[in-house]
Amino acid sequence: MRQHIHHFQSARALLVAMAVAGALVGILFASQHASAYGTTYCTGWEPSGGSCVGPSHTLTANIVYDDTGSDAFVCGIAQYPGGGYYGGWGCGYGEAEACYAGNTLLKGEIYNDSAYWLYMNGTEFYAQGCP
Amino acid sequence: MPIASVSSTPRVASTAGSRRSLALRAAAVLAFSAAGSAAVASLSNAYRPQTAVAPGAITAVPTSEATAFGILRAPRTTNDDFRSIRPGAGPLGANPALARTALRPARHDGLAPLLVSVVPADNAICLRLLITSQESRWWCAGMAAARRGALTIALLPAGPVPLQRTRQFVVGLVPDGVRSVTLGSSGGAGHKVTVRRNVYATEMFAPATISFELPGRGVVSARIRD
Repeated sequence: MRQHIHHFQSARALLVAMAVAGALVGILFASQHASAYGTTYCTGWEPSGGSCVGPSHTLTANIVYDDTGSDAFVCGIAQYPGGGYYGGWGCGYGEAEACYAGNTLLKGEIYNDSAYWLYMNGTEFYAQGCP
Repeated sequence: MPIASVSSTPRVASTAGSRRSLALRAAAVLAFSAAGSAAVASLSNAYRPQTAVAPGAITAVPTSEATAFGILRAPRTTNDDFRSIRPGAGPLGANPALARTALRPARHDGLAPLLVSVVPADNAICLRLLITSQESRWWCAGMAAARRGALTIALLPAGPVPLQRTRQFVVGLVPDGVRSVTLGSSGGAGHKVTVRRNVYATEMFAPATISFELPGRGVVSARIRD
């Protein structure tokens, strides 16, 4: 009888432990999805007039950086994976950020619009706020 | 002994079966628990009310920014509100709840944005352009650059490269005291654009230079798209 009770208690403890572990895994999974996802692409030197295209994601943001700190003119645009452009070019000094609704597969593109070589990169976000 | 041996066989089978059953039940509890908590956590995230201040955003217009840019001293009205593409803070802690509408272009021919807002940020100031209901663009400048009027943006048509010799929508921010800017094209022609609420905007062919008189510093000239 004591053996049965012990067995029952062990089983119950195991099931409770599994329930707690499961709940923690679930919360962790959900919170991971709630946080931002981003990827940096095309990090390197671009000649004047040079451009580079990033990977496909359901973009919420695409940011173009002039990493030299010289605040040179840089441009960004988004492309559809199959070709064609989503909107036009946006150009400005040093950095340009575009926000998207996150419901379309897009590829970010960076462009060196200055007269010099620039060390640049792009960053695509696909699960974060972007007003 | 035969009786014992007969009775011991089912007990072993029963124990093994019980262990298998327990393992299955444990796995099921783990899976249901994980799925349930994930669903509850996701729902609670989805239905969490939007706070007035997005995480990381500034909570008030910095005095230095209000001092230099009159548009940020103007009382905020509902006309200054904009609907975020995806709620959150803008670049450099820019707070959409502190934005001021600078311009709603009357013409929408594909280049002009729907709305231009000035948004204060953390020791920086941003221009936010609503391109469509599904796309916005942000450009920010640190306060030192913003005080020099070094926040100029060009919107260009789609294409493999942003061509210099094409029509463009040029918009920029200048500090108090700048009444107009002169935008020169690569063909040499220039035209004067009036500044309203610290912002100038125009559509023109091949913009190349900008110049304006900055109070206390004289005439400032800069290349656009150098």
